[in-house]
Amino acid sequence: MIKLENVDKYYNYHMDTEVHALKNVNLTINDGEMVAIMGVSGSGKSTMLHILGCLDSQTKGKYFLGEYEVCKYSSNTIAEIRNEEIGFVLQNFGLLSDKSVYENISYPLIFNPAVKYKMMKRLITKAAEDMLVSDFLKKPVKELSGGQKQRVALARAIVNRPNIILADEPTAALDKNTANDIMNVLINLNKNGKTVVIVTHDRSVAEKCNRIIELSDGEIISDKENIPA
Amino acid sequence: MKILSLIRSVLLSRKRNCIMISLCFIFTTLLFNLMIAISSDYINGVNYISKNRYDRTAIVTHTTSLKPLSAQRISDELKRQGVKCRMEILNINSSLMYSEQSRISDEYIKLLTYNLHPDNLSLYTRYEKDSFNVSGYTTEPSEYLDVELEGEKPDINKDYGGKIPVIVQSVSDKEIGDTVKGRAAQGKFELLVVGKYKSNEVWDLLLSPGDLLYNSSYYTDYRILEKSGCYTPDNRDFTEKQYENDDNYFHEHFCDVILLKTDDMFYAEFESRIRNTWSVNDEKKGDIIFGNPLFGVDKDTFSNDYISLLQLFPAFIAIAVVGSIGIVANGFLNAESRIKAAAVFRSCGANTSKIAIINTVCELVVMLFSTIVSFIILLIIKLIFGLNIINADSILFTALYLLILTVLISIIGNITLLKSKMLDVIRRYENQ
Ligand SMILES: Nc1ncnc2c1ncn2[C@@H]1O[C@H](COP(=O)(O)OP(=O)(O)O)[C@@H](O)[C@H]1O
Ligand SMILES: [Mg+2]
Repeated sequence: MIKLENVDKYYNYHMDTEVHALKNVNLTINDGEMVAIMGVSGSGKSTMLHILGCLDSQTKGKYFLGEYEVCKYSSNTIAEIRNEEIGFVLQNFGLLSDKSVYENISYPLIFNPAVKYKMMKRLITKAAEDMLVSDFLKKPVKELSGGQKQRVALARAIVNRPNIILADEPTAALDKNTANDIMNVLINLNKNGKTVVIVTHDRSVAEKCNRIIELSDGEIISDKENIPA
Repeated sequence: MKILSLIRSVLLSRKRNCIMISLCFIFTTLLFNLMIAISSDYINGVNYISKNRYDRTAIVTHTTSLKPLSAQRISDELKRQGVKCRMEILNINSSLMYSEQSRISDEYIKLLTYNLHPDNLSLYTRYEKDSFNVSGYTTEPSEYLDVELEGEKPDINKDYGGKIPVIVQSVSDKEIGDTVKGRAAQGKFELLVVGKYKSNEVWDLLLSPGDLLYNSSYYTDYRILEKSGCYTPDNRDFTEKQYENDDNYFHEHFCDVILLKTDDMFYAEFESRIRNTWSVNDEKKGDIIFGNPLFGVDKDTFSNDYISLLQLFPAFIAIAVVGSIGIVANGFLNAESRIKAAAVFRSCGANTSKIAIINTVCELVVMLFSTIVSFIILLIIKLIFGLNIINADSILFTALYLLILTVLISIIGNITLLKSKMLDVIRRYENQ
């Protein structure tokens, strides 16, 4: 369960350039949900996802990730929690393009103390198979197409078997067909019990989720159930 | 193991960077080594001269006294002065020989030796032309000083067919095997040249009893000289300079002494104690006077060989500094890609310390790699060109220098990494 309680996020707090990016956000996402966060550019979607992914911290309010109240932990513990609990798909893939698909997928495992070196190969191959990228494990990422890159990013997000998958604009850089593919992958992950939160500004993408939260200017303006067509 | 594989992978993607750094590095270490090798050679050389050679030979000095000199008196006086050293007497006696060609009568010569005066130039010239000097040494200089001898030393046990075996200076026109006929102490004698000094230092610094007899001084074992019979008290008087002062005449006896310094005394201390006894008129300083100490090897001459190289030092240092700056700058220039990688690692759950470790190890490996490569190159240069650009000192100094540089670079690297806000980097990523 993910829970935001009266969360405010300011950038450049108390400075001339202060931006109030999230305004008193209250939100609970239960395990196994598939949620879309929608809004125009600059409405605070990424900010929210970063807080959910423990990449950033809120200025005010509380954030609970399962039983953890995240801000109470040291950055090292947060790094561990992030490693174990969250698979993050960065906007624009966030892959090291010189490195092979295999290596890119391996990073979360490397930083997971519970995973031994010997286990890595099996886990990486499995994740790559699930995301249909096992054919080009040896290829450097820069030689892949956009859809393939996004699959690699997803493979990396799931390789540690986290319960929560957070994806920032996973389809923004892709054509419609590939976008559909990727959405199906995410839907499948959700069907397998993962909590999936995606950020998008594309309504057709959001409609594939079970719940749509709309952000505007840092505030939640609507939060509705959605039955995918 | 996992981290190692990651480090390997990070290093591989920094290949070009690695090569750049290595080049900078090799260049810098090369210069650095060259510089240090030269300077440490120089320092070692000076040290060698100051410690070993001067230790062995210490000082050649000139002692004078109003009373006849003996080894015992000299060493007693040294003891009294607190000069801790062993002593060898170099020229305890001399004999003046006159060549057969001399047109000056013996009486006249005798007179000359007592009234020798530079004012009388015509006599002076004659004298120089027709006479020569044989000095007897108790210690042959090449045994103690860095003076090489060609041929052999006069051997007291060897039969030279009635001739007196002698050594000549390097500037002499006589060669080994030459004979020289002369008269002294009312007898005729023949000298046989058996040895010749290879350098002029003997003349310049040590064997200067007959300042007037340039090119015509001969040296032999003092026992040979005494046995030969050409050494007489009269001749000996020649070596006892005459001084006139207001009240009385007196003879000043002199001899050259090699003082062998012992370990527990500094060279400067040694020298100053001897210098303290300089003034002949100072009653308090005993009746033996030590003159200016002369050194076995001229340090300035030695330095001259290095001066031109030493003058290049600022250039070496400048280039080494530029190289080092290049290496550090390279670290900055590559910051972006490293920060990017670090951001990706962090989004995958790496904590700060792991990122710092990865970064530091990478820097270390790059340094190590470049170091090894540059040392190999240095070795190859050394082997092929025989240039002495690598030695123990330079390796030590370079290692220290590299260590400092590595520490500096990894500190800079880690600061740039840790100061960069991961989210900003990720956002920059997103906006590409
Ligand atoms: N690091 C930052 N410093 C200052 N302002 C920021 C920063 N990151 C985001 N913002 C601002 O916060 C607001 C929300 O940004 P973001 O969450 O990226 O929106 P979205 O993802 O919905 O486009 C925007 O006005 C943006 O300009
Ligand atoms: Mg965004």
